[in-house]
Amino acid sequence: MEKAMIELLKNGVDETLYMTLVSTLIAYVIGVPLGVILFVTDIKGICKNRIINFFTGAIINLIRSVPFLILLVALLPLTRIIVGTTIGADATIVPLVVAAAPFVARMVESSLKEVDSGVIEAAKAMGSSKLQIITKVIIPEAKPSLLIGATIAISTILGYSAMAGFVGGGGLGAIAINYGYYRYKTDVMLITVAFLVLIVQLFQEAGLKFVNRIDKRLR
Amino acid sequence: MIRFENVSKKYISGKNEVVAVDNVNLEIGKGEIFGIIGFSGAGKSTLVRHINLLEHPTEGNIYFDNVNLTNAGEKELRKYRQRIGMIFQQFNLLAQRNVVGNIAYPLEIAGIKKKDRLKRVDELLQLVGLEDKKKAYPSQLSGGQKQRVAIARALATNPDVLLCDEATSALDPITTRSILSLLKEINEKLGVTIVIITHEMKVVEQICDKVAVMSGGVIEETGTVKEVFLKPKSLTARRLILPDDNINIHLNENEMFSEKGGDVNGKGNDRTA
Repeated sequence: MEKAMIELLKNGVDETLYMTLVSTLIAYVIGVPLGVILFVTDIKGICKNRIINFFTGAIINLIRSVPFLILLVALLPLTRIIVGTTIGADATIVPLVVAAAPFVARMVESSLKEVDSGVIEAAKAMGSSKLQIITKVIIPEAKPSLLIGATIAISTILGYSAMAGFVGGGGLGAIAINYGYYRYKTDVMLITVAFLVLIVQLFQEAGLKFVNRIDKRLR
Repeated sequence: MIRFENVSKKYISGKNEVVAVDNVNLEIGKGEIFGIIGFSGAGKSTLVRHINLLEHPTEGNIYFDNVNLTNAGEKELRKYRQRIGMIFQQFNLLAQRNVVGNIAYPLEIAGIKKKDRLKRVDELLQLVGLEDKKKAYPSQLSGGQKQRVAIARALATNPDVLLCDEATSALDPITTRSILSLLKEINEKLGVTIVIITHEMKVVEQICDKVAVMSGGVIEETGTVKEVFLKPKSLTARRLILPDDNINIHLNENEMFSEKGGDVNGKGNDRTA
């Protein structure tokens, strides 16, 4: 393979990692509070509030039900306002975050639901405030499950980022589409796909190894 | 120390109203070991959760040291809860914290400095006999050891009262005995009032001073353990105390009693209507 192609692929991997990691990070900054809100305002939650729970849930469901490709196109004006352009890796981060944050919120919610309600009751009985229950009991107790959720979220966001190649996003997805699909270079397409598989595999393995190390329940 | 005044707790479950606690009047004195005994579903756990207001009564008042807790605000309630320790059947330890971390938790939320926390944790570990398990996580402990950690945690803030919700029901008989003697020791040494919920007569027999017999949300009788054991008045008490083969005889006797009035047997059913 010629040198230019290797350079191109190296760039693609870098861009893909950049888009995926930055998007995941921002998606978690938005998604964790949303997930916590969903959990605590639930009917069995510690700050039961049907109205907040309903509206948060409804907005999340609304965004989650829009197909990602439609979201990509629909968000172009917003992307232009925030990033100044609609092509390249930076521009892809905007729709990725919008699509991923509600997904992350649901993952976080389901992780928090795994926390034993008896432990929450014990914390309440000891005189904890609601904020203390969230920050000192629920989130630390759910940490292993939250991290497993994060590895799933990273893989999903990686998949989305590849899809963004269709509308001018950067990274491996764009290479697979521009060279492999439009120019019939099957070998390039296969190589990029192989890279994507490898990256997903790496994140998944590393994530699970890390979780097994920190989870105190497994000894 | 603790007084229940006409306390009732009703739930709406589907279309039915369920009365979990029915017009309970109860007084628990300072320094007592008070047992509340009854079969599953009698409302014992719901009743004991009224003492630290984990459950709010639908009617009636709960007094702690002559203060009406029923009207206390969230902040005030949290202060009171630090004076009322609680242990559970399933221990409810923080799985991601080690023994020291678990026992330090109530001190942490009470705003006590780290140095003082660790000193207090050492005292408590000595009290429950787990000095060698400081760094262990709950998953590495046996049931009895977990309950000892839970007891140390519940006592961390020097509470006046310790609530035990079926605290020995998940333990084998030998471990049960050792946990009960630890509770007795705590009661005698520290003067902590202890309220014990159980369905096992032998728990009451081993450590309680007084006992209340509960069925269908109602306290059927209260008295010293001796009184209730020697002359059980209610059917529930008899069924709990007497060996199985004697129950039938007493059931028949009870039917004869019920003709004179006071149908004890039907009580549970009336109340769910």
